[in-house]
Amino acid sequence: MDSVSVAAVTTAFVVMLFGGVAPLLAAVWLNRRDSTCGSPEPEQRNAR
Amino acid sequence: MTLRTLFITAFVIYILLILWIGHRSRQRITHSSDYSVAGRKMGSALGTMTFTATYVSALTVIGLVGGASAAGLALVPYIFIGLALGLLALVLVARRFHRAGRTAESLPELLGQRYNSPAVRVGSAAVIVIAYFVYLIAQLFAIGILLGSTMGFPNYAVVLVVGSVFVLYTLMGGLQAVARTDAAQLAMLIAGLLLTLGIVVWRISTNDAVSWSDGPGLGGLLGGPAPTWIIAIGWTLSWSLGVACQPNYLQRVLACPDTRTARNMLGFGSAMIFFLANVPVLLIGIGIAVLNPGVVGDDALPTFLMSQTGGVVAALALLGLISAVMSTTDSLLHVIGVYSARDILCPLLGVKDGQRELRLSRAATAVLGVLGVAAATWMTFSPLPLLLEFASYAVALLAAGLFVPLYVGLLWRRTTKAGALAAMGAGLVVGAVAEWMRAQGSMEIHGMVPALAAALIAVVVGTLLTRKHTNPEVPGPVVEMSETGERRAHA
Repeated sequence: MDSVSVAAVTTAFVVMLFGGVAPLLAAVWLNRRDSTCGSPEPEQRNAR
Repeated sequence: MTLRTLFITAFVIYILLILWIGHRSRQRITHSSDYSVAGRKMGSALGTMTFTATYVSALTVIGLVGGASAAGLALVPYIFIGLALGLLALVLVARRFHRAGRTAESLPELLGQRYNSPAVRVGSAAVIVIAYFVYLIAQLFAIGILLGSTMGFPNYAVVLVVGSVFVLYTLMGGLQAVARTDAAQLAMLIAGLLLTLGIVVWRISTNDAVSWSDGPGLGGLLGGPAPTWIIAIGWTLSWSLGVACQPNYLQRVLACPDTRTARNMLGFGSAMIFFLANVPVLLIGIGIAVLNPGVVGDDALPTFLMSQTGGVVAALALLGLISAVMSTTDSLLHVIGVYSARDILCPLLGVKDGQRELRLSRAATAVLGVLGVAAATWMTFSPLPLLLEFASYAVALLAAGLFVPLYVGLLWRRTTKAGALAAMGAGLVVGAVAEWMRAQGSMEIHGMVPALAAALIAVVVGTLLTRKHTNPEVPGPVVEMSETGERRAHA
């Protein structure tokens, strides 16, 4: 494989990795941020 | 035992299992919200499985394997970048969407509440029902052709049997049944995909005459349907916006009890979509092209399964494909049944009682399901090219009409009803005209690009022109939607 092919395969690998990992990391990070910073659900807000 | 006998035996067991799950789910239905949003009790695990299964359709598997066998890595800029961005957008907007829809049982109902407009509710529901109905027929028609060409069954018989089963369990248990059968179907389709991938890898690694580097489209990312970066950007926009506002995905967000569960479902579901479906499909397509260079496109996977795998593997893989089509068509049928009853019939008939809404939802599911199966059966004798062509554009047109009213409405609290309706109309009309021009060869870029631009201009102009007529003190759509109220509280 020439250098262009290697670059294409590497880019494809990165995109596929990004597609699977980025939404998962975003979900985990946002959930953790909400639980540490305190962002209650509407029902919990109303209860207060 | 012949392949046909083996397949029929496995298929009968599979159908009995699915119908048993549907029957058990029926006992959980006591109110319309149980039917439409699974009582808002869908957990992370079940949500992840139904979300993933809904994404993987027969057209996805056969189409993407065929695309990879012809264009190789060009699928990455053609589809996968857009898909990744669309899934990420869903996660990022999950909280706003979930909170905006805490009293809504459907996407059109949420939009109707947001803009305090029955017109927005009924209009968006009508667009979704038409697009999904056509898409459902195309999916059923495809599975008829697939099993007809591989197993020699009459196409109409396949459509009738597969169609009757998914209509029956969707009717019985609504989203409760759809989600639980999706979980079983996901196991089948992932097993089929991984088994096929294993055989492709094994065949290439044990054959010295072929190598992965002989695969198609490995010399660069551009090619096939995405020959230039401008065209690739158009496709990326189309896929990302299309995924980000798919009603059957968003319906599952509404079914989650809280934002945390919704994000888990979308995050883990995205990982499963990419690592257990998209990556295997890409590798299978490239591998099949290496092993069978003469057969590319939509015939690549069926031909490979029948010619190069044993009886058990072929039967399991075909069962996986049936699972893929059922897990998508049941979601489509559930959405059009609920939306046509709750968001079109109930407002027109003035029905507000939960039990009557439930009965109407079931009746609409039955009627549309029977009509869809009948249309797909009829098409096996006399295919309607226009309908199939429309099906290929249906999802893009849905995004053209829905994305801006939904996302701009969630993010810009001043958006008015007039702005939303203008965006919906402009997106649909410009998207349809631009796609027609692209089909005629007079435009290269995807119609979603001008459609998005037109919808954005329409929502801004429509909102600014009508903004004076809205009273921010009146509780209603803005308060219903408001995330910013909470932000002020934190500030």
